[in-house]
This record gives sequence, C-alpha cells and structure tokens, in this order.
Amino acid sequence: MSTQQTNTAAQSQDEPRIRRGRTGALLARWGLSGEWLVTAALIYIGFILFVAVFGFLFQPYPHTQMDLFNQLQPPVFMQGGSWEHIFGTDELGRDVLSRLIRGLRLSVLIGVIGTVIGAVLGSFLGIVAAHFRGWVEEVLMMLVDVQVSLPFIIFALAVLAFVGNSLTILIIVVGIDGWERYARLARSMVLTANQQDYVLAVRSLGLGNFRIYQRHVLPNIMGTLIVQATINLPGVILLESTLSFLGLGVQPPMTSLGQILGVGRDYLILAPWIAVLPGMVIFFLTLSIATVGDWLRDRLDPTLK
Amino acid sequence: MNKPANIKPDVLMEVRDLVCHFPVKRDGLFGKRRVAHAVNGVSLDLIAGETLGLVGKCGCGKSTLGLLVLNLISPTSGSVLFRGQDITRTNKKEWRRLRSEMQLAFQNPLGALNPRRTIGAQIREPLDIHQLGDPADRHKTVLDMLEAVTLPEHLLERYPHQLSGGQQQRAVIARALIIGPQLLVCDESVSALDVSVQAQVVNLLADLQKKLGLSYLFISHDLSVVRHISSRIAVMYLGRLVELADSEMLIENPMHPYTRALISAVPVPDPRARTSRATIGGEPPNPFNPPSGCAFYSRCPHADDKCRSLIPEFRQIGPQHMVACHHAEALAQTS
Repeated sequence: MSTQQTNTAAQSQDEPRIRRGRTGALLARWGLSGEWLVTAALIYIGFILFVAVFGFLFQPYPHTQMDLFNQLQPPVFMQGGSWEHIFGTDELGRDVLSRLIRGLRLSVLIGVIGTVIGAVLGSFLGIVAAHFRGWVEEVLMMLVDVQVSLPFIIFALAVLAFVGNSLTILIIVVGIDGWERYARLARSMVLTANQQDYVLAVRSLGLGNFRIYQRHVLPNIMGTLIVQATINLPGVILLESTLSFLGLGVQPPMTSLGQILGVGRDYLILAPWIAVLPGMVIFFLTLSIATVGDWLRDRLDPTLK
Repeated sequence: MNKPANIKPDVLMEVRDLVCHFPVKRDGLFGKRRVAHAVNGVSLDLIAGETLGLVGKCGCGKSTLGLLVLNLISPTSGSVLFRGQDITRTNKKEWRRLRSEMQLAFQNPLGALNPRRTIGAQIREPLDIHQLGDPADRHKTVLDMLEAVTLPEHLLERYPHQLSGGQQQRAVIARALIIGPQLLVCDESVSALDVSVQAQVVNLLADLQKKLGLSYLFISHDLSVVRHISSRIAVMYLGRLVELADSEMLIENPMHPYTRALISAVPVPDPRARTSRATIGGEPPNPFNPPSGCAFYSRCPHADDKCRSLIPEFRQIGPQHMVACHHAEALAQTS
C-alpha cells in the first residue's frame, strides 16, 4: 500500500498529470494533449495525403468514364441517391467520388510542389539580398515591390495565355506566387540575425559565411519560414483552384478540385453536390493546414517549451 | 622626468592613431553625407598578461575600439600591431589564424549564444572551426574548459535559455577561451549581471588570467568593477583617450577634469560619507560634429580660450601617466 503510494508520488513528480492511456501518452509526446483542433487537423491532413497517394486503389470508376443514362444522380445521403455512386454523378454521368480522388491528387501535388518552389526561391533571394546589401538588395527588393503591386492572378493569366498551358508551367506559375513574401521575411530576419551577438561571436571565431548561414542563421529563421509556408500552402491550392475554375488551370482529361468546382458551378442549383463536395474538401484542407501551421510555430521555438 | 614609456615590457598589442569614422545617412535628400567620429585617434599599448580597463560613457567609442582591436571592423586609418604585426591589413588566411589569438566576450551572454544549439555544441564549436584535435580530444578539451570556468558538466546538453545569467556568461567565456587566445576583449561582460554574479565572473576572469597568462581589454562604464580587475585604466571621451594610468594612480590622483567627474560619480557605500563631488553638467557633444578644440571644453569648469581652439595632445605627465589636458599640471596642484 505504502509502496504503491510512493510509486504514484514519484510518477506524479515526473509527469504532472494523471495517468493517461496509450493514445494519451502518444498525444503528450507530440505535444498534442488538449490540442483537439490540431489533432483533428493533423488527422484530416493525413487522411487527405493518404487519399492523394493511394486513393486510386479505391477509386470505384475511372474518373473519365461517362454514363449518360445516369447524369446528375444525387449522392447516397440525398433523396434518390444510390450506393452505386456514393457521391453522385456529374453532368456527364461521371462518378464524383472518383473525380474527387483524382482531383485531390493533382491539387495536393500542385500545392506542395508550388509551395516548395516559392519558399526555396523566395528565401534564397531574401538571404542573398540581406547578405550582399547594396545594389543587389535594391534590385531584389524592387522586384519584390513589382510583384506585390501586380495582382498575381493577372500575372498568372498573362503567363498561361502567352506561354501556353501545361502542368509544369502551371506548377511553376503557382509556385512563383508568394515568393516575395518569403523574400521579404527571409531578408528582414537575416538582417536581424546578422546583428545578433551570436552571429558576431561565431564570425569572430573565424567561421565562414556559408557555415554561419547553414548552422546559425538558417536554423533560427527556419521556423518562421515553415510557418509562412503553411500559411502560403492553402493560398497556392486556392490559386490553382481559381485558375482551374477560370479555365486556365488544369485541362481535361486531367482534373483538380478547382476544376471540378468550376464546372459544378453551372449546376449549383440543380446538382449542388458537384461543387459543394470539392469546395468542402478544399475548405477543410486549407483550414487544417493553417491550424497546424500555427501549432508548428509554437513547437519550433525552443524558448517556448 | 624619466621616460618609462620607452622601456617596454612585452607589448602584446600596440594601437597607433586609430581612427574609425562611420558614414551615416545624409541630411535630407541632397544634404551633406554625415560622418560619425566613433574613434578619433587613439594610441595605446597592451602589455602581455595585464588587464587594461577602458572606461567611458555610452557612445564614447569604447565598444568600437574593442571591435577595431579585434579587427572585426576595419579602421578608417591608423594601425593595430599584434606582436609587431599589423593586423588591420591581413589577408583572409592570416585573419582566420588571428581569430585563435584574440577573442571577444559579450555584454549580453544570452544574445551571444545561439538559442537553438546546446551549450556543449557551442563551446566546442571553435575547436571544430579550427580543426583542433580529433573528436575525442575536443570533447575532453570541452570538459577541461568547463571545469576551468566552473560550470557543471550536466549543462552541456542544455539550451542557453535554461541557464542562469552567470552560467551563460561563463559559457561565453569558455567558448572564447577554448582555442587558447592571448587576448580577450571583454565588452561590458559583467554589466548585465547581478552584483554578486558580477563578482564571481570578475574573480573567474582574474583566476583564468593567472592560470593562462591572458591579457584583457576590459571595456566597461562601471569604474568600480574596472578598478577591481585592471592594472591600468584608460578613460575615453568622445572617441579620444583623455587619461591613461595605473589604476590606483588614476583613482587616487586623476588629472583630467573628466576623469575626476567620473570618479566622484562612483557611489560610495557609506551613507554618511560627504564627498565634494566634481559634477559636470550638460551632455557630451555630438559625435557627428565634434568641437574644434578639446572635446570636453563645453562642459569643463577649467576651460579657457586655448581649450576652445587647440586639441590637447595626449602626453606623458608622470610615470606611467598620460593625459590629454592643457591644464593638467595646474590642476594637479589645485587638488
């Protein structure tokens, strides 16, 4: 009895909370206990990623397969729906679920690669500007100002209209979106970091510039850049959706969430599920990424632990 | 008078007519480009194994002088000789080698440590940079250094913000000393610490000096700390040295009116002590536009026309006592 008591006492010293189950312990290890919204967001993102990668294995029909006798069939949870097409069919009788799975894959691909392009390009240019100062900085910051003052959607439309449309070009265009935000952020943070005594200290120890950036500056600004990326990622997905919605993004037979949404708009009254379902997927995806980004910012700062 | 300045014991570093001007923004769009005279012709010697205190008010250029001495910024003119070699004009390789000869300890230890690296990794970093010894040796050197600065070993895995201020400063000192420099520039190294911790760190510095034969350039605005640790003290005012002497002599028998004001401003831990304070009014002149004559004349109670027009020479006035004042001899008799 008494040993048990001392045991519990010792335990409660290490772990201030009462015993948790296995899941609870796992959540605690990830710093997630009590963060239900973040947990839900993470689960949702995980599910979306899984569907994007492996969804084609569960795809009931080819996403292009038409069935003109079964046009605009409502999903199973609406009146008149059937299990044959769980999320119903669109105006050509194509299975909405199959199209969602396919579209999701492309949207996620474009979103992730586009974000990485923007983050790497922008951060690199920002660091270059902060390191060299002088005319290099002025030229780069002028480019940033040009980019900011130009409505990006016009820029994207112009590029896609003139250069033509392919998946690669589309990814590059949506990737360029937001580079100026990373550039500004990286520049100002590198300028601040270079004024910090710890950078002066390692410089006075004889560490080379490359190593200073690699070991001391980058790790200290990485957290903010990652958070910026998570803020930007939904924007990239939405931009791709917008472009596809406008007919300048993904071209059939390929499909993306934005494209399904754009086509479904015409049938919004008659068959709302065509537009609403991809819209909801995008909405929850962007919301989840933003939530996780916010949580990540706190996690990545060692002084907040 | 004999001239003891010519009999030089091991001079580690000679600073000659060092000038550093910072260009600052223009007045308006087409105005003249203004220049801040941060250091304006400073000459001094640093003897091996000594502690030279450098005191002065904020903005008088003492930190700039510290950075110049370490060659972390380049002077406008003048030279710094380290063991007879001019270090203001070195190539990259020599400069890197010099890093292991001279180091800097900072005012704010938390800012001087990377918040994302462990204390152990940061103390070890200089060894990695200069490729000294193999990894096992390096670890041992780190442990020795840790013992030398009296930090417990379990702190190696901690992050800077988990340490107390005194521990952080000791870690900074350990990192600076681990590659065995001859010269340590302490720029306000204890100013940010509590008085009790200050004493610990100052005593630690004194111990390390004895053990390792270091020289310190100890920059501070706090004359009472500087007095405790320094063998000689230099007083700086608006980019120039105004007085340099053995510390006891400087405290007991200050020649320059500014030094006198500084010393009488040091609080005395005795509530009944009534000292006649040589206070000075006003603000130091603008470093963008230093006065024509003696920089101190606008605030000096003894100033006359000569002070207004002629910059006083930094001259020998007694054994090991240099001062930059036209009236030093006359003032010495009045006190």
